Amino acid sequence: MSIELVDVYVWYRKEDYVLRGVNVKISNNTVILGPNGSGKTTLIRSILGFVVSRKGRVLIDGVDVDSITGAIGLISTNLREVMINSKQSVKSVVEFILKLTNGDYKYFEDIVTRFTGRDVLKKNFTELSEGQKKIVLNALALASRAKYIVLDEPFEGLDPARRAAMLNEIQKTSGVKIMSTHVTWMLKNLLDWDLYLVVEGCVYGPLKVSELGELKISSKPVEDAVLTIKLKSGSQVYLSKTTGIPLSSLDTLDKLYEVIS
Amino acid sequence: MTTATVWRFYVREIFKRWEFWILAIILNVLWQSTGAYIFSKYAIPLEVRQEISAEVLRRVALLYTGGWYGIVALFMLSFIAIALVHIICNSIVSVRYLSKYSKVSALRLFTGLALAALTAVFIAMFFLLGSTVVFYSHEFYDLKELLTPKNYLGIVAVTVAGGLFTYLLSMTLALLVVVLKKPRMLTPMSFVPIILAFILGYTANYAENIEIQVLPFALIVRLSEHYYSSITIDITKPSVKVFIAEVRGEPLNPTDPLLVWLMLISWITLFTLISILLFKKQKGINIEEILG
Repeated sequence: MSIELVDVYVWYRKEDYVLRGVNVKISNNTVILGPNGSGKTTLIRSILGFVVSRKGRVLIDGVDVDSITGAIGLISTNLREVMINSKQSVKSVVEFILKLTNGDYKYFEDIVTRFTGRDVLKKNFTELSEGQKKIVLNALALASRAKYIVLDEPFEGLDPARRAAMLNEIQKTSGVKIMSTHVTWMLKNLLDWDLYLVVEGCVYGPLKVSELGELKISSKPVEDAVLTIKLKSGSQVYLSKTTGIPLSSLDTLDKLYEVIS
Repeated sequence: MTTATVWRFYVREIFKRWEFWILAIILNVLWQSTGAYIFSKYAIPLEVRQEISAEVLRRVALLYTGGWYGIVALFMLSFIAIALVHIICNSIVSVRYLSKYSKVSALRLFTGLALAALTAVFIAMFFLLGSTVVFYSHEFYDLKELLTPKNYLGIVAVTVAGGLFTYLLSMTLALLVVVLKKPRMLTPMSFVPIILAFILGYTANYAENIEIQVLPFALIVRLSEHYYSSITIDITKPSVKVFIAEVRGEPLNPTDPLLVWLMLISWITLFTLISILLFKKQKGINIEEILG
């Protein structure tokens, strides 16, 4: 049982691909790592079946994502579009969504209370700060108790203490977690997770997170390259165990381009 | 059970828009009091009220009250449409997730929302009916006699049909915003029903053109008037002329209420089909384009 993307292309404007020839198979906890704007969120939307301009196949447990309906507890996500744009309180909206997805509202309330306090539950979602919104959306995804929990940038807008606590929360929640991020600080805690790199719409992998820690990045050709990343500019980037700057020294993958240049 | 959950959520959502309800109530009171205390003095002058028999006065007062009930009912429905356009449009994106990964299908969700809209219409109707009876009974009888509808069942039926039409019109407008990929058009679009109701509702009172009289706005007003006061429906004449003819006992070309119902049902069917078509079309729009 897995999530599988086979030769997936996604575009929002003709001939301008956001994802190009993506082949991914996810059956364990997985990190999708890439710089901002590389196509991570689009990849997540493709997995969920939200992307319309697409070719290639997306299969969830062998079933085409476009044909899935009423699959309670199959996938949950922290994407903004899950939250109904409402005048009601966070409590009312989330209670409604979790009732429809057979989720665990008590668990949601527990996470939100521990991370931001109970006041958030009484407020309207649009009144929350970016960090509070992220906590609510993460908690909603985790409390759905789904088989696959898809989290897009779950640490964005959180302060360092809450980031660590959120990582801990994500790790202890059951289900296969798929997490996209551009930061690398948490990788040392996820050594047994699988990892895909997303750069300029192409997806590379899978690797083990533990392997990534040993890799170095170089713009000069390397004979023992584990991965070769082709950029739109025509140049290539090589990941190897021997040559270049250690990837672990970059706190964010956004610095990838700085390293290359 | 799922539909009931959706219904409860959206009833709360509709009533959470308190600013819209306050505005609707204020305007309703304004229209009703204008009709009862200002225009009535011109339509049925005080000296005429003293000259005619009590029986004729009651019939004329009821016709006048029924006419105002019809037009204000139309405005009230259009006000509900403002909220509905926003709610439907705001739910479109979430429907994609919920219909795939929860127990609610798109059909159930929009059925629950339609039931919530009808609940709001019912509550508005009771308020509207109550205020109509109080204002006009006060003007004509100092509340010693009440000008109540002649046919309550008919009033309820036309309110449900009007509510359904309002819901489908709101659905069409909300889906148009999505299909045209113009999220910024949402607020202007939500005011289209009230603009149409004002223009076409008032025009139907005075315009001789049959084309205006067969539009859903005019049909809702005509049926409301008819069930409130038992006034004959004659769609070949504007409401005001029908009222004058009824008062003077002049001949009319009665239109069978069943025919008016058939026309209204045809409009409801047409907007149902347009909504289904637009709903299918919006599935081809990327979320980024909807979120703007």
